[in-house]
Amino acid sequence: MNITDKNIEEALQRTLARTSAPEGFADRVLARIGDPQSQPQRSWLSASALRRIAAAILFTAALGGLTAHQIAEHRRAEGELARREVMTALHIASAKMRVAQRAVARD
Amino acid sequence: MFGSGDQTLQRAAGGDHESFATLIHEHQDMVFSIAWHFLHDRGRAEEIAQEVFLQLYRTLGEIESPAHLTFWLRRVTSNRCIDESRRGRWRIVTLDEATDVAHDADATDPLLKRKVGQMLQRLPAQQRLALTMRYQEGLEPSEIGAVLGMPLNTVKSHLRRGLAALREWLGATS
Repeated sequence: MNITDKNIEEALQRTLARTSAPEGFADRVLARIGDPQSQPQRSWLSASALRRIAAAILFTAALGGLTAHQIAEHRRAEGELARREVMTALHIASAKMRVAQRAVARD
Repeated sequence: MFGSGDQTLQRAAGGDHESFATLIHEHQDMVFSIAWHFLHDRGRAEEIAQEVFLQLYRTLGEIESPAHLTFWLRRVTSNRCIDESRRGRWRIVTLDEATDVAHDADATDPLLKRKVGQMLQRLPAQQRLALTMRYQEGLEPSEIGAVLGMPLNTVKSHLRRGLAALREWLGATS
């Protein structure tokens, strides 16, 4: 037999052609639906509603993250300002101490 | 605006058994054939097909369109076939048996179709499923990849290897 790819593909199409489901198949499936485990999940949330909720949660989380970042940034800036004020105060105190020490030394 | 398929789907999702029966009738041959070509056991193929439709009934609310339904049925049936083969619950068909159970007699089917039917049963599960999706369902490799959850190159490789194995085996026995 001289077998070509075309022969094989045609044979595959014939071999793998759809075959009819057994007689009464649908009735047997419907009969099994009475089984409590086969009841549909009638959720009030449709797939699109779930997607919208997920998007809203993501948006809220992103907004929350941004706000938290802004608060942290603000606190860091305040801390830096306080540190500079303390350093300035220390410099002033130190200068005054040196003046006082010199005055004491002169006396 | 919904087509009749969308309306049937919506009514079935709303609990209308008649609409669900319509969906079963529309798709039962496809689902049964995938399982039958994979398992080559009518009883197990029907069992798998029934379980697929029961799973569909439980998750109808997630099906978005008739096209999604077809995709979902092909995917779930394929997954169940793979699970079945992993559990080793399906009967191994010998070559002699395969000749007998291969398919209904077909006037246009002489020796070659019969041999192809035998050889298919010897292919690895993924190759057999890829060939089934290609030649039963007429899907393109990219569509097969989506259904079977495989990269495109893997699908192409399965198809190429499956055809090569068939060619080699048929050449050796012709």
